[in-house]
Amino acid sequence: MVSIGLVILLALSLVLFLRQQKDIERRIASQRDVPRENLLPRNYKSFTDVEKTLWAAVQQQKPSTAWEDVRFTGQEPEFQIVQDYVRGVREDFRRGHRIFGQVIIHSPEMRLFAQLEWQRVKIELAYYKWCALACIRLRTVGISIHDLRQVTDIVATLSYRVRSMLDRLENSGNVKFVDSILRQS
Amino acid sequence: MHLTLSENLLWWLGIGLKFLLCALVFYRRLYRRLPFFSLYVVLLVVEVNVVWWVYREWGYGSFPAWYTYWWASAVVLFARALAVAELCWTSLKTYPAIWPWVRSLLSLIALVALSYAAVTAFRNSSSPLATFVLASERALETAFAFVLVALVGFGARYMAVLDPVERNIVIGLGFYSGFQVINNTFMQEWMSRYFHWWVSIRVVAFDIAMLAWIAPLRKPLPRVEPGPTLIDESVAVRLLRELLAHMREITEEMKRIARSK
Repeated sequence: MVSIGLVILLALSLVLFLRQQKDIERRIASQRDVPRENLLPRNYKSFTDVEKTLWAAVQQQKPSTAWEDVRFTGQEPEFQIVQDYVRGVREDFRRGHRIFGQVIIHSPEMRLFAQLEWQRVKIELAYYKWCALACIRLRTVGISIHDLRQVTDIVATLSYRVRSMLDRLENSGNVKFVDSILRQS
Repeated sequence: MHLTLSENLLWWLGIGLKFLLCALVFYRRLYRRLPFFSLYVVLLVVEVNVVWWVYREWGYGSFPAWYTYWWASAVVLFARALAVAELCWTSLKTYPAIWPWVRSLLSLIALVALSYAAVTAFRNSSSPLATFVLASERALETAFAFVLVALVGFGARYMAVLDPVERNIVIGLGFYSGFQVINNTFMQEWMSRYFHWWVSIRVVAFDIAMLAWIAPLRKPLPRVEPGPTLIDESVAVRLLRELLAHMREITEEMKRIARSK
């Protein structure tokens, strides 16, 4: 019976991975003419503007509440801004994560690849931990500005690493390599 | 052994599909891209013809028939193992750190599977050849299923997308291997009384796998897109080492800041 369970698990994984591969193909085809700058994580940079907008909205409704204690839940009108920002940051994370993976997979040494992959996994774990906590908070007390700051930090760290990777590669004369990485991520 | 009409039809359908697949492999010149998979397809056709000829000449229950069947099964299984290894090679050859590691892993898997089969065959003194082939098949089919899923999973994580032909070969081989693992479990525990039924189901599973392989060969093969331009090995090592050191420095700095707060 163990082998039957194992085969079911493998079959489900195969279907999932094949669907992911189809999605990758579709994405690569759709971003052929996208400007290069849009292929890099960029939504997280709007955090200051988002914070300002949220702060202004909260000041109008609840001026006495301390900013750090404010919680945004699905019932509040400014929740849409939070939702849009989180969506953008998620897209940034996925994009940065893909570019990071594309660069390190071309590492000529296994040991170097493993060390770089570990750096990627650490950011990935921090991000998914945040997602899990945010999911619970959304159903209970709501998301605070501290939570948004935290996810912005995670994504900004990843984006900084990705940008410094690409800059170094470009500065060493590998412009074509960087371009193909961006188009295929 | 007397086959029913439906079993006969199933056998003929399988033989027809094997010939069609083999013809398409040559017509589309797949042998240039995947020589071991093409060899496997050719061996499937050769196996059918040789086994059929031996059955006709010496009879189904004869010694030559018995030996021919098990030797042919062993050769086809070995060719399938080479086809799986080839799929790994075509998908991973552009990654200089990964392929040597995967090659060692595949060799280790093959060694473990064959050792297990040899030990099992050695213990069974009545028919060591049949036991060896069956045990190798059991071990290798499980390994194939794992390796193929891992290959597709690797592609999804590192954007190493398989081309349609390779993807359908993976689907076909994975489906058949998964089916064989279940089939062997059922056969061992409950199904030995229903040998005919078991064989028919096995034939159907293999026909489905062949249909998956035939599908992308109906049209001319698309040109293989060149992968990302590779950078010089020494440059890549230097740059990635610098990046790693930089990342570690930043992490340490952030930890230091967090401690000082």
